[in-house]
Amino acid sequence: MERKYKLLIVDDDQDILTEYENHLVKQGFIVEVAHDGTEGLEKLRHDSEFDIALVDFKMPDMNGVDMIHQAYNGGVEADMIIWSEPEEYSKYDAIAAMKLGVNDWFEKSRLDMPKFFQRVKEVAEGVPLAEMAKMLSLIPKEELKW
Amino acid sequence: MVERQYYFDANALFKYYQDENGDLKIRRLVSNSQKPILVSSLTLLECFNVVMRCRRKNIFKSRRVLRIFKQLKKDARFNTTNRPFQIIPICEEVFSVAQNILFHQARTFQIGTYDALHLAIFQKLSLEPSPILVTSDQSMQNVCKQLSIPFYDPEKE
Repeated sequence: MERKYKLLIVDDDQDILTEYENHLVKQGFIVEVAHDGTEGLEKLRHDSEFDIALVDFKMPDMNGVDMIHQAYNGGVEADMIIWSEPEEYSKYDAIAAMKLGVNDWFEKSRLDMPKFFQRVKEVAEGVPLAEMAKMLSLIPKEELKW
Repeated sequence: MVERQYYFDANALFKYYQDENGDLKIRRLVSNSQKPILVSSLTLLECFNVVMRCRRKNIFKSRRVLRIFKQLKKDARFNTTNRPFQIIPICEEVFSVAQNILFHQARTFQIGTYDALHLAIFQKLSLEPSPILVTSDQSMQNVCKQLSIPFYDPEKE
């Protein structure tokens, strides 16, 4: 079975939604979009198949960090990446995101596309199989009693 | 032709992640299967238990335990279409079926509570065509033969 990763883009800019939805579909993702934080939260809470959400920091109804905070409090398990313009956030917002366990933060105007897509893929994938195998190889044989 | 699904016991699920005898066959099975591989909450619980035993013995630090748990939970979901593993809900009836299996089989074969529960969960699956139980446990295989449960051992052939 080919593993497809499901991604949600949350952004109030329709042009960004359209552009990145197209890019990410071409990269092999199943993509859905939400136009603000409220819709993003709704989608994440009702669909546990999302592997990752790409969340705009500055939205009209709430900021991205608040949205992620609410999502995690509500039991959402998807990984999160925030993106924003450089002037939109302070270091305190970045620290708050870090404390929540947000996986990464990108600045839209300074985006290196190949690196950005690579990072989105890495986060969606989680721990690569080879790394899981390496970690689990530490388990002594006698502990593997089923 | 409808493809048969596979049900993994904990040992089979672990082989997907760990390099050990039969791992390549398990990984091939997962990647070639058109539908998610079936596991139960019990399967995941057994894996978590092994990892926590290692945490207790300080083989793993908390951070590593969290990464392993997160990945196991990421790869398996109820009602999934895009995860490699699909979690089967456990119905109440499973416990009486397991009790019955233990009563009839445990006097001959060395099976325990978890084995009986896996066999019972498998027996309660109402899928057509019947799925295949994947296990390398010899006692489980012996009981499978008794109960006419199709099984596959990735460590053999």
